[in-house]
Amino acid sequence: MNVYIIGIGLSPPRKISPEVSFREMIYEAAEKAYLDAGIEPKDVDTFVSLSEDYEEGTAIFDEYVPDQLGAMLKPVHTICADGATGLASLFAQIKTGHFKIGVLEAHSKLSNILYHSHVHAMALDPVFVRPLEINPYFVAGLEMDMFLDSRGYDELDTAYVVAKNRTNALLFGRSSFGSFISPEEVLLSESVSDPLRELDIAPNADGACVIVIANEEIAKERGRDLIKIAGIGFAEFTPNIERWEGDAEYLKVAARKAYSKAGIKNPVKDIDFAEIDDTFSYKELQHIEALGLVSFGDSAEALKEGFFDLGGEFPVNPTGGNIGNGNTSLMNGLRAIYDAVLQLRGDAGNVQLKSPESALIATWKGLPSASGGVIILRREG
Amino acid sequence: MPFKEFIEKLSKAKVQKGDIPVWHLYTLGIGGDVFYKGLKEGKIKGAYCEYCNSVILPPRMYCEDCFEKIDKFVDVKGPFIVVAYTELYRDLDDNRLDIPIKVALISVPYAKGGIIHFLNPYQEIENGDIVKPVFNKKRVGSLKDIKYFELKK
Repeated sequence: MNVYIIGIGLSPPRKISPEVSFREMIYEAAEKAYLDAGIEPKDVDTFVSLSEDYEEGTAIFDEYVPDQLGAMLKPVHTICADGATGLASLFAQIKTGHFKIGVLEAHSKLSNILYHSHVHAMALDPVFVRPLEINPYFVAGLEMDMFLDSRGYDELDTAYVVAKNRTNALLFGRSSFGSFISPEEVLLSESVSDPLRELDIAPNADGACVIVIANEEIAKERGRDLIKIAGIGFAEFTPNIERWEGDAEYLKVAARKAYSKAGIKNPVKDIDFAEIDDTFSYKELQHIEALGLVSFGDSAEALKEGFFDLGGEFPVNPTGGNIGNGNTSLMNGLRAIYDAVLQLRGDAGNVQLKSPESALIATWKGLPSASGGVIILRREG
Repeated sequence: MPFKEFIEKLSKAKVQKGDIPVWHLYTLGIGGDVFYKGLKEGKIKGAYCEYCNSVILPPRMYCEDCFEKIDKFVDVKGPFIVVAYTELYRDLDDNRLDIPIKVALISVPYAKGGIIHFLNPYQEIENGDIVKPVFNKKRVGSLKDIKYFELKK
């Protein structure tokens, strides 16, 4: 049985959202997604919501999920995972045949958190790392150092990611983080955890996103925009950062699984574009290599040559990625799915690619995790 | 309609303030207990997995690769090598630090894993350099019993 995305809804990412609560943002995204899918909440059989209690500022957050989704008295699973892992959970439920329509939700109200680094610090190992009492951005700084050092890259190489994604976001026109900026200007920004600079970090943003998926029968009844989930995979490496070596091992495994299910032999030839997690600039290059889009150590040169540009051979993050749209935490993956579906439908406006038929989405759970997943979407008809 | 006005900072909006007053006590575990007791004695202890013939840092009572239980712990005497390092310019409240904190992943060639700790802020230390731990004279069984790692001359 095949599974399709039949509806998408977004409360767009923005720096702050003082006009609405997180529940109202989710309601807005859900209303749009249901309208897009041509369904009502009563038609939905199962829901998956992604959240992290500490970021919500609410214990037992799953209790706060059903009402704004129209999900009261229905099966709801709240899990703390990246977008691909969340979609895989819902996808598996539909594949059982017991559910016809499923809804995936994620959101971000990071502007509500006054000291975000304290939340990240709570994710560090409480015995072997956290007692150092330092800002958790050091994890990204260390990993970036490993990544650059192992490839012979430098900070200018990753600055090209920032320049590309901020420019794409400006062209797309949805985000306030878009700008024309040169790689050299990126290097003028303040050092946060050397070699990591301020502009290497996707700025925190608020937003909500809802994705509706359905089995083949429902999707074909709907009769338009047939976007098939052709492959999906996810994996976790060790949480012990002492064992990290600067490679995204989780994405290598996830990609292998997703490619196998989708029949992908050569991702660059078989897929038209990608949405790839770039919460930190170096993560985009690290993820590109883990996904096998280029060989180990070749991503920086390919980026400089325009291979991943809007007009390049294999566009990556055509709407601006997380650097251009903002870091919306566990919603990052859903925003990527949303933007990939826009492209496949031909609705991506200024950054629309020429008739793309397939998309790769690679998600990461964020600092300080080693978890992520890969989704392959394919347009049919 | 005060909520619809253009607001640049959330603190200017009508908000309900709140905090999460939570305090924890974290059990060290078998591996952590060995590690902390070692630090108090001025030693760095690792676990030894006889199935993959590896020293594991920091020590744990299981090997995450072999999924085998470990009951052998050893003194790790070096050579300690800087695998990666960063200069951190922010404190936990995201305030800027004028003098950065040097944080490194330090390991030994025969170990899986390593130790995350500080480097001597007054030394020029690069990846691949051999360093040694500098312990505080008064040690209490804490990660900060190591003052920092510095170049081994």
